[in-house]
Amino acid sequence: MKYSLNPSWKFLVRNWKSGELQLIAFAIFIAVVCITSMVFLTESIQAGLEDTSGSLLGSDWVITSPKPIEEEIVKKTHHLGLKTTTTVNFLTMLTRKTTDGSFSRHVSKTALKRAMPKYDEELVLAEVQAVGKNYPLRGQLRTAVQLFAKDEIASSIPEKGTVWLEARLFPILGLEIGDEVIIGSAFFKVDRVLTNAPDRTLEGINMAPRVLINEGDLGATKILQPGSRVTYKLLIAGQDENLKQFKNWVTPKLTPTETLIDSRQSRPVLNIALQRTNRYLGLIFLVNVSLSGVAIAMVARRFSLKQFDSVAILRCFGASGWWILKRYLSNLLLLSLIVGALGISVGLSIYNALKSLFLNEMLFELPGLAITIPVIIGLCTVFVLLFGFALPPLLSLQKISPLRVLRKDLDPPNLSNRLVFLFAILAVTFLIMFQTRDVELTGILVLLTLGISSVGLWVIYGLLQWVSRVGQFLIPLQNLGGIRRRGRENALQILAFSLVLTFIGALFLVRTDLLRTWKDQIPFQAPNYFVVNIPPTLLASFKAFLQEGSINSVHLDPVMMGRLVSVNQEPVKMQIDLSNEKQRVFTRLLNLTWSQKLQSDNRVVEGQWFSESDNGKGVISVERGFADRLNIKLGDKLDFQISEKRITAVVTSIRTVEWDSFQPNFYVIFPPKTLENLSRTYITSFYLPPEKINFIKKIVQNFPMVSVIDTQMIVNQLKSFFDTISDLVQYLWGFTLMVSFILLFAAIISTLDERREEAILLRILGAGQRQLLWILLSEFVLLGLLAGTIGGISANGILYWLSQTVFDLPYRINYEVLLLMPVIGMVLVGFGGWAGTRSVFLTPPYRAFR
Amino acid sequence: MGKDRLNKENRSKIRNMFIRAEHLTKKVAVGSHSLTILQDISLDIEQGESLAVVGVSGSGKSTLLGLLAGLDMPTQGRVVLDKVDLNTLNEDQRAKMRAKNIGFIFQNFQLLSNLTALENVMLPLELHGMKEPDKRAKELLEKVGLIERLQHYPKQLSGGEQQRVAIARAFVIRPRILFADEPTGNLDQKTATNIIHLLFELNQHYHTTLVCVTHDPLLGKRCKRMLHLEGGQLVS
Ligand SMILES: Nc1ncnc2c1ncn2[C@@H]1O[C@H](COP(=O)(O)OP(=O)(O)O)[C@@H](O)[C@H]1O
Ligand SMILES: [Mg+2]
Repeated sequence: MKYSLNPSWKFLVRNWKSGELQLIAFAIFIAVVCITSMVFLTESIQAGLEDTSGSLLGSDWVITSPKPIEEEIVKKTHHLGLKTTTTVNFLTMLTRKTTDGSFSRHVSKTALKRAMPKYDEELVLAEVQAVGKNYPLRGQLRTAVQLFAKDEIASSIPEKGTVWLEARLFPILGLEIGDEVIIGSAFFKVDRVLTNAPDRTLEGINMAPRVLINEGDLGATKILQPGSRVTYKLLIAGQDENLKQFKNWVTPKLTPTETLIDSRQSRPVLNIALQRTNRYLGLIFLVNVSLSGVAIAMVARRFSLKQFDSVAILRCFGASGWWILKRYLSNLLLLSLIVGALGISVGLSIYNALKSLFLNEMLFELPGLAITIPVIIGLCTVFVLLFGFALPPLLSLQKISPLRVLRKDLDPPNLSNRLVFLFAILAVTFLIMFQTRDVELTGILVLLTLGISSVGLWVIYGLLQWVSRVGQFLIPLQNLGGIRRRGRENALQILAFSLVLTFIGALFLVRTDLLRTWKDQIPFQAPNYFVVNIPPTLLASFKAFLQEGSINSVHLDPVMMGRLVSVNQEPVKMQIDLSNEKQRVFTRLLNLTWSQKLQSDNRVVEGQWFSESDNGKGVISVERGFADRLNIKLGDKLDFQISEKRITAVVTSIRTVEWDSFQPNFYVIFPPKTLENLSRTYITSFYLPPEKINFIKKIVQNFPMVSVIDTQMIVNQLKSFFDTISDLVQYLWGFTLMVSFILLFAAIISTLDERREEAILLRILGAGQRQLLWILLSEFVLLGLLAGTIGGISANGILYWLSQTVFDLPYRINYEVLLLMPVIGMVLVGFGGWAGTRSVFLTPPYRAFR
Repeated sequence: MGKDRLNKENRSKIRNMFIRAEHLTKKVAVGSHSLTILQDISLDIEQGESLAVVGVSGSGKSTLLGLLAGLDMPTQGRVVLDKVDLNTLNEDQRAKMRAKNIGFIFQNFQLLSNLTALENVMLPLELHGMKEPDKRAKELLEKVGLIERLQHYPKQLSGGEQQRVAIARAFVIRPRILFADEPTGNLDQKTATNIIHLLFELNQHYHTTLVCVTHDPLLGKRCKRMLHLEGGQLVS
């Protein structure tokens, strides 16, 4: 039976008909959908990003060792709940098994004895990696079923007896899928083309093409003999705290030949990008929550105004303040829970749709526990919006005097909302903190929004008074009086419009700037091949050969091998802590070069770059990290042993280097002429489109002594990382626009009642429809103009501030936004206002009165 | 102290009186100075009595009614309702008192527009926490002749029908006292006569004390006693 319904349900159903609750529900719904799908996306992109920075190692951390990793270490990782897998890497000659099977083992042994990298029709030096079943822990293993076919993520490692080869091996060995190759003493069937394997680094020795086999086949190759040069790796991934704990435990246990590598330390570029992304997402998050919050507050205010009469009647018939509050409270709570649950599930499906549509490659399945984070944030959003924004206007309902049934003008005493306001701020702050985990950012964002809103309201109110007074002389608009009359409502309304336009403008600016900077950081045609060991005698013909292959304007750097002997007469061995891997690197041979010009990605941070007069002198420019690690200062004297010669040079400049620019880079650079007579080779890098991969084969055939290093995989990884970020930023931008429109709508309808009454009166007094529409339109256009002007200015202001404090990007005033915002404001608010209130004028005055 | 003395002197009298107003004065602040709406009004209403307060518009009738019903508080003086001094109660306690004892009828009906006729009548019962509110509500709607219109919203009813719903709502809790503020003010002559008839019929049936505030002499004459209000003061 109808009346056996629970009273709050009944109450909800009754109030639902009034319309405002529908709007509040809609606003909460959209906000929750936006925010949960966004958090789903960001959590998963976060997982993806961490994975990407890990993907260059294939894990978070790696321990490398020339011997199998100690059982004790592996046990400890299990004990700490870390995920691990092992790989075994070694260089070997790879050869194709001919159809008659005559190519036998001893030939490859002879080849091995030659022990030098060499490309041959039938014999190629390759890096074989035998992988265990969880490989890789981070990043993606991608393969294609045919050469140049579209690749996809491999769901497993190579099966026993099969091998996955990098694309460039196919033309060199004349291979096709299904052929067999020989590694050591074993035959392997070529199963797939390896297009992307993690754990490749530029600084390593990954000159040789990669070959992937199953670790179960390792024994059959008979390569693991005592004395063979093999690298054992233990790949480790897991939670930060566990990793830290593990590091503390393992560091003293490592022998000098074992090294622990941290993926994040080795990728500063990705770290910066990750931080920027996080901050940008935090910004969007705040914008979305506060925009929907303001929208909800506006609608709730209207809702509460409409309830005044009913509440007065209820009070007259003896309802207590608490009884009334309880009704509305349980009502809103019920509503928000329904809507929130709906929003969260829709958010999840949007995330799933987006994931399968666009972001598949960079988005990672959220592990079971992580899926609760968006759900929790979604629920928090519901409560923040509810208690922070929807409730405060309703609190005044309990203060309504029952006398209102006799006297219409009795509004409730203005509630001191300061405490509630404070609560809203705290709640929003908590949400942002929870989402971004960035204290500095949260503080900046919250203070910024508060500052803008309070200053904005004050400025707008003054401006309105001024405009309506001055405007009367300038523009003959009858309705300017109306603008002033509704000063308070209009100021709030303009604030809402300005907030929308400011945030749209600011996000637009951050978005374009952010993306531009990111794009600048990753050259689209980043060099994907390095060629080293080019002898000086072949320099000219090699250049000509590249030009024939339409690879132009390549730069060839001379390379000499040298050893740093002493710094300021102190032998370098004594200064270096040999147990420190980072310093030990420098006792090895260093690559030295000379150059007249400073390479474009290098920047001198101390001292002066060489002038022409430095040519032939004993001066050098050193890389900052190198200088820091060896404690070298400007003016220090460094001695180098280069071939037979001893050369002394004074440090005249210190440089920074973009190691991810895919240009050959050097720790130490001399000016021209100083090293001229020393034996040297040349190095270069260039971009080769993937379809021209055969050109590499030609290089190898024509210049057998040079070595080609392929960096395409690393470039690909970085590219897909940046692509995903820019994609994501676009989608989030769309969400924000949606929330903005809700606020716009809420703001427009917030004065609908007053306007309706006024319009009806004017119509009764004989105003025509056209006249009324004109009044209405001009008022909204004027409001839009004001809001747009404020929006354009404050968007630029915000961006300037953000660029200085949060994003660390250069910024100059964007005049387009400054000029466009007023126009956008006029169009948007004008049209929205017209569309939203039009109905008022189309109903005949008689019907409107009923 | 003065109040206590007054209490003692009049204790016996108060016992017989259902409502007693003592030296009621109401002032409101208008801008910087205060405006006196009611001045030193004292009156007694006995149980079961019907009283009309008549006066021109603006004479302070509604203000007086508000004070007597405990909707508002006087600036000076007090209202004792069923032996309880309203000045000693807070807003919520007065609300509770109204819920139990008092019914209202207004000039502009004051029905909740998003509730049906039946729901409007059920409302005071629900506030009161009574069982089977719909049964009693239907009973009263039948008495006012609207049994066919249970599920209609106020907008779908005429003025006279709306006032009938309001009367049903007022009587449904069997109030000991009913306040009516110009119940016929918004109605035409014929409908007004019908409404007055209905009002007094139910009043008799339930033995309700009735306080009627009106400028309608027809309604005034139906009451046992009539008081005249002029410029916030009682005249005889
Ligand atoms: N809160 C108030 N502020 C200002 N004036 C008031 C207030 N309440 C009542 N009045 C004035 O007091 C007078 C009496 O009002 P009211 O009691 O409503 O008269 P009646 O119901 O007899 O028409 C009116 O002139 C009214 O404007
Ligand atoms: Mg009145």
